[in-house]
Amino acid sequence: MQARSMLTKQLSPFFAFFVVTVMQIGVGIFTFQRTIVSIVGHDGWIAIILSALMVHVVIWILYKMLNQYQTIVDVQKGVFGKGLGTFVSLYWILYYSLFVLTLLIGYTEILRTWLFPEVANGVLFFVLLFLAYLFTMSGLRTIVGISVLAVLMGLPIFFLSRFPYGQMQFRSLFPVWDHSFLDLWSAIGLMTFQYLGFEILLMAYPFIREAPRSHKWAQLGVTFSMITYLIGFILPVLYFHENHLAVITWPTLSFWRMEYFGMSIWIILLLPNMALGLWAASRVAKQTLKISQRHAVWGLSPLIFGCAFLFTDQWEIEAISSFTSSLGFFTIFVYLPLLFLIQTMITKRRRRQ
Amino acid sequence: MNRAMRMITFLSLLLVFTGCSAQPQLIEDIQFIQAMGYDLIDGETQATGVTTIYMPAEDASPENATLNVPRDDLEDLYSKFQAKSSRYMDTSRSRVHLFHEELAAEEGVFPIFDTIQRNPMIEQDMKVAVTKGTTKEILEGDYPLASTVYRYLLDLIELNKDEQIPQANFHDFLYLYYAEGADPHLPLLKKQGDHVVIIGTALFKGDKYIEEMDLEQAHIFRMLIEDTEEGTVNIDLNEDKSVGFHHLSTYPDWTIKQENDGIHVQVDVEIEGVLRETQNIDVSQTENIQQLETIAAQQLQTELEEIIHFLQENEIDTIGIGERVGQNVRGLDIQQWEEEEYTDLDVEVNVDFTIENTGAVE
Repeated sequence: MQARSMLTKQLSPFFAFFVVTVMQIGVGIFTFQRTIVSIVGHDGWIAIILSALMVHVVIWILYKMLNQYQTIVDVQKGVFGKGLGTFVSLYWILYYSLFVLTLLIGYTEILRTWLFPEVANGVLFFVLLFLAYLFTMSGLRTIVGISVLAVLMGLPIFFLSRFPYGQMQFRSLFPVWDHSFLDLWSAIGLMTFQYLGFEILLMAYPFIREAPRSHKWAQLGVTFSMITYLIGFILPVLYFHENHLAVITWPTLSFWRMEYFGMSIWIILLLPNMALGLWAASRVAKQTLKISQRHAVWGLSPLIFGCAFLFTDQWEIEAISSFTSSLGFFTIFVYLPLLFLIQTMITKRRRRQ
Repeated sequence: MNRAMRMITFLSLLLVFTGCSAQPQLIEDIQFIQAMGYDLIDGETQATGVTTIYMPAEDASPENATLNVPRDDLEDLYSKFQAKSSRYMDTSRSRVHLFHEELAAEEGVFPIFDTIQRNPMIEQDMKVAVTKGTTKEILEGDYPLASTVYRYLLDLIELNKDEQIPQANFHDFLYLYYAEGADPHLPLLKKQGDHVVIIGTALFKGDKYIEEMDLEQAHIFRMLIEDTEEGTVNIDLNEDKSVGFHHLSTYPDWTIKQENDGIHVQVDVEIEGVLRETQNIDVSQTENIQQLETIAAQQLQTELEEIIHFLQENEIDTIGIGERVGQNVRGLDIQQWEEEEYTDLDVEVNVDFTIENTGAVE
C-alpha cells in the first residue's frame, strides 16, 4: 500500500491538523448553538468539551486500527474476510456521499436565505458541486492545500467581525451545571455531529508520510475545533438570552453579522470539505469496486446533485441533517470502537496461534 | 478533460450565470425606508414610513417623504408601501422604529418585533421607542437644524442613551423579553412644538406597555442596572439649598444570598461625581464635602428604594432581579418566584457616594 502512493503524492504529517480542522468546522458552526441551547441552555460548553474528549478517544482508536492496516477497507477485509469486508465497505461510499450532500444543502439554504433569495436552488447546487468536483479531480494534495488556506483565511473572521462589547451579559453562564446529566448526554450526542469529518483519515491515512507521526496533529486539530466551537458558543450565549437563542436559526450569522463577507469567505472552507468527502467516497469505490477513482467521481457527483433536489425546504433539511447526525454518531462512536475491539481480539488470537 | 469538453463546460456555465443572476438594483432607483412608525388610530393599525429623497440638483437639500398605509398584517405592509411608490422600496435599512403608546399598550409590540427579526434582509441594529401621541405626527414633522427626520431621531436616541436613559435598543428589548424574571423597557418620546423630546422610559410587562417613568426616575433607575459614565443628578438639601452633580459614574453590584430563611438581595451602588452647581453652600471646606457625600448617599438610597418599590407595586421586574436570582440560585423556578416572592422582596440598597472634585473653583 505504501508503495502504491508515491512520495510525490504524499502529505507531511502536520497536514493532518488542517484536514481534521477543515472537516470538523463545516456548515454546522452556523447552527449548532440552537440545538445545544434548547437542550442544556448555557451549560452547552460542557457538552462541547466532553464531546471533544470523546472524539480524542475515537481518533486514538482510529490510529491504532490504521497503524495495523492502512484504510478502513483493509480493516474491514481483515476483520470480516474478503467478501463480506468489501461488501461492508460499500457502506462508506454512502456515508461519505451523505456527508457531502448534507454540507451542500445546508450551505445552499443559508445562501438562499441571506444572500440570494432570487437564485434557484439548482444553480447554487451546480456551482458548488462543480467547484468541489474540480478540486476532487485535482487530487488530495490540492484539496489539502486549499484546506490550509481555508483555516488561515476563514477562521480569523470571528475576530475581525463586529463584537458587541457593551451588550454582553457575563452572568449568563451561571449557575454552572444547572441541568441533569441526561440532558447533557443528549447534547453531547448532538454535539458529536459537529466534530464529524475526521473519518476522512480512514481513507487518507496511506497518503500521509510517516503516518503514525501525524497522530498528534490530528488530536491537535480536534482541540483547535473545540476552541472554535467554544468561542462560537459562548459569545452568542452571552449576547442573546438562551430562550432567544433557542429560536434563532443561524446564531453565528446573527451574532457576528457576517452575512455578506463571512458567507462568501466560508465557501473556501466548505469546498475542501466537500471535495475531501467526495475524494474519500470515490477512494472507497476504487478500492472496493476496482474502478478508476475518476469514474467514481463522475458517477457520484451527479448522484449527489440529483439527491440535493429532494431536500430544499427547512424541514427536509433539518430531517436529513439529524439523520446524518445520528448515523454518524453510531458509525463513529459505536461501530468503530466495536470494530477495533474485534480487530484486537483477532490479532491476539493469531499471535497466540 | 480535453479542450472541447472544457469549452462546452465554460460556455454552459456562462449561460447559467448570465441567465439566472440576481436582478441588478441601482442605488438611485431604490427608495429606502429609514424610519417606521406604528399607530393604533380608532382601532385600526396604521404604519408610516419615512424615506429621504435626494434631489439631483445642486444646493438642494434632501427632502423627506412620508408614506402612510393602514395595514392588515405586516408583510402585506411592504407591498402596500410599494404600491404607493414609483421606485423600488427597500426596508432593509430602517434604523428607527416607533410605536404609538396605545398600540404598545393594547396589542403589544412583539408581533412587529418578530416580523423584523424574522427577516434576514433587515439590519437588526436599530433604535426603538414608544411615543406619546401618534408616530405619524412625529415622522411627518419638520425639525429645524435637522437634515432628515430619521437622522434626527437616530441621533436623539443615541445621544441620550449615553447621557440619561437606560440602554434599550432592539436587541436589549428582545433579551429582556425572552429572559425569565425580567421585563423590557424602551425610551418614551413626545413631540413638543418643533422638537421631539425624550420624556422618560416606558415599562413593559411581557410585550405590553403598562407603566412609565419620567426622566428623573429614569436617571435613578439607570444606576441600578448598568455601569454609567455620564449623567447628572440634583439634590435639594432644603428649600433654598441644593447641589448638582455632573459626570456621574455609577457601578451597581448585586449580591444574592440564599440562606435558610429565604433569598436575600442586596445592591451596592458606587457613585462618583463632579460637583458643578451649588446654591447657598460653601463647598471649600472638607467637612461640608463629607457631609454632602453622606446626605447625597442617603437621598439617592431613598430614591433607589422608591424605584424598586414602584416596580414591585406594578408587579414588573424591569431591573431583572428575578434573572439575577436565577443565575445565583440553583434549580429555582423563576416564574414562580416572580409571582410569589418578588413583590414582597426586601431589597437592601447601599449607596457609596464620592465627590471627586468641585469643578474649576473651590
